[in-house]
Amino acid sequence: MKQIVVHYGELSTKGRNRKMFQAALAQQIRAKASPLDVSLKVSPQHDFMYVRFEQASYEEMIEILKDVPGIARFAPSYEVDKDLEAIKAKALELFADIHIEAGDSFKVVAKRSDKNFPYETYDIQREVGSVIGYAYPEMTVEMKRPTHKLTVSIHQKDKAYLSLSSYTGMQGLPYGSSGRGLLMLSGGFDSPIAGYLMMKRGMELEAVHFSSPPYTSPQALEKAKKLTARLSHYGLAMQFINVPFAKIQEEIKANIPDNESMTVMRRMMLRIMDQLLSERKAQAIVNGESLGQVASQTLTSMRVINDVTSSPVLRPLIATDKNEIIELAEEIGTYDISNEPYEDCCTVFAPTSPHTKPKLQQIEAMEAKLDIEQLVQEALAGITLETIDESYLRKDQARFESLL
Amino acid sequence: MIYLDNSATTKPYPEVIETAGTVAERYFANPSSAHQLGEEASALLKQARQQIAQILKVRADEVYFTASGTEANNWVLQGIVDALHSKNTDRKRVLLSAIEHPASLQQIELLQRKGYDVDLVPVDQWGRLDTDKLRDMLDEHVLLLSTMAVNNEVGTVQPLAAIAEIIADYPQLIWHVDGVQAVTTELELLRNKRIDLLTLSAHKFHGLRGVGVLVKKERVASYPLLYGGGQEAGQRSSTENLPAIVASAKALRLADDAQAEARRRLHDFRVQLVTALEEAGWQIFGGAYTSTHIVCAALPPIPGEVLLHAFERMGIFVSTTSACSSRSHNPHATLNAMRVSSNISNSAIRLSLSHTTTQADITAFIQALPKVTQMKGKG
Repeated sequence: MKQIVVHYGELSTKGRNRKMFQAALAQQIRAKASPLDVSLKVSPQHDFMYVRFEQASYEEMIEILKDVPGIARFAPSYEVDKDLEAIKAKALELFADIHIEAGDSFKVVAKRSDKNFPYETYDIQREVGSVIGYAYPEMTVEMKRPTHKLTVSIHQKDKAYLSLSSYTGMQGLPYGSSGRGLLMLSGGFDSPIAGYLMMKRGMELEAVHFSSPPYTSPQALEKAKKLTARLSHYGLAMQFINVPFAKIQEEIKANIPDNESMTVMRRMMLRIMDQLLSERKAQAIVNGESLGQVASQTLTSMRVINDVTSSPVLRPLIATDKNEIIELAEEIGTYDISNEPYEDCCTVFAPTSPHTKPKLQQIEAMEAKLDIEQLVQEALAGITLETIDESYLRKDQARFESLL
Repeated sequence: MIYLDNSATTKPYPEVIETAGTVAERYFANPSSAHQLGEEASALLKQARQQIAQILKVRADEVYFTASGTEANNWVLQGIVDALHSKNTDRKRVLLSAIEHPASLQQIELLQRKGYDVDLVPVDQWGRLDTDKLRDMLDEHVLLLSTMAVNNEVGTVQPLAAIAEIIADYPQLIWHVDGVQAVTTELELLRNKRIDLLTLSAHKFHGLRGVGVLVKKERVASYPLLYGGGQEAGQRSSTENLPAIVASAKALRLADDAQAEARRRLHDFRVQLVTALEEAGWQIFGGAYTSTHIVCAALPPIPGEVLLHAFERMGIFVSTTSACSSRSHNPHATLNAMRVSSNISNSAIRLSLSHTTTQADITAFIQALPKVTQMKGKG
């Protein structure tokens, strides 16, 4: 049986709610890893969690755990017989697998919960330490800050566990442990990052995309779905909610002066989001707004737009710069998808000079020309739902497999 | 037919031809078209690019398709060199190894006319780049260094890891590697992280001709090679040759899959060939530094061309040292650079193997060898 010890970090401070957080994390790990390994067992302990498995390799499991929110760090732990020679042999094997440079140092830490084991903690450390020191004369022993730390745990049952490398996890909170939000997902760079940050904070998400065919292309819709698929890598399969928006855009174009149309459009979107929130039993709207980035993202503008809803609108990117967003997009694999050239907000409706300081009273007066309630209900009646997970991204790969 | 001229061109794999046929028929739309057929063609192109990028361990947007390896090398020494120079006008030195392919060497005059200082980095008697000389030639004015991975005439494997280490002190230097001959057995060399530009040619690894690849890392400035519809990220306009491109991606995957096994087998074949040739009194070039799939040998004073035709009469196809130069007047640039005298180099022939070479091919060559060798006795 292979084993990885997962440490929660922030979870330890959750007091009575800890069990709920642990359960969410365990469920997430099971969902991600069980397709690889039917023998998977996730057993939460007080401050850490054991992930035990048979078929999957350590590499495959590490690859999965590094992208699961709520994990502070994790360490593969190798099982051997409770026999000093077996422990030494495994220790050498583990050191052979890592990169050692001249000047590196090491330390062996033994933990003995089985008091019948014939060697004391100190003996184990000395014995194991000496075979490593002998095999790697370029390394020195260092107690305070060793480059490599080997942990040997002698368990009460019949096995010993060795652990050498430790990996940093994604941090944050387990997916689904902080309620559910609806993400306004365009095809751009910002909104997927906003989604990612909330997911990392434990929020379960559904993606809402406004599309305006035939003014927007099927490729733009496809792009939003691919972004959803990429985001679901950091959580579970996600609902993709497509809202037909062309009718509303046509009405705005016909009735609202060009420079105020952006404000009215955003207000219409928020009205729809507000209704969706109760339909989908979600608690917050999430979007990718960043202060001052475009016309609709000035404080004045945001205030006028926000006036149509009392639901919380979370803007995790509000204080970030574009280059920080791009950097994160590259890191989490949404950059290449967002970078595809298909426009989401159809150019037909884009105002040439949007008003950056709209006035609420004027906007409300203009909106009187629209049958708002009717338009919102029509859009809601036309929404389509689709469940999207990571495999959506491999669609093309499977389609072209025989050719490539 | 015993085909031992794989460094000139390889026979396309049947699967590769099948892919090209299917793509030509089913995905005939222009990848730039906005409709669904165009979209499918574009998705397929993207997938092919992705596959090549994964094999070479680079990013998909760093892979550009050209029409040939020659075209890729021309792009490097023209559009890219000019763009590098325009960013830093005090840098105008270009270094080429002395044994580069004519696709690079033939551009020296053009580079000099444009005002660049071009210097050739010499090679040793084995055909390996002289790394000490390279170290002496480097300074902060060098904007580009171009070297090969595997030499096309003699097969010498170039010390890319050592070169990477030497140029580490010159981060401004853009390093181009012509990897055209390396895919058969030395693909791993091409994954060196320090390489900024890399040239490949599909018909050298059982793909179709008409496709070259230039890997251009993000940091490398460039002027477009061809202007027009903006294909290849605006760097090389031209409607994409989708059937051949997809076939190339497939061929590279098959080559990568076959690599480890091919290395072992071809190493064994090379030992057999070299042993037989040496026993028959032939002279072998390149020594221990040669890639397993190329053998360059001579039987002076008999001209290479005569040897070639003598083998041909027995159904064995070999070449004088390079197909590109075998019809020109200076056919032995690499051997000359290795300071092999011309009465010996004129006698050189090249045997080049591939994944598809069999033991029967090697045995047939060794059996034919005495007959050709006895020409010398008859003088």
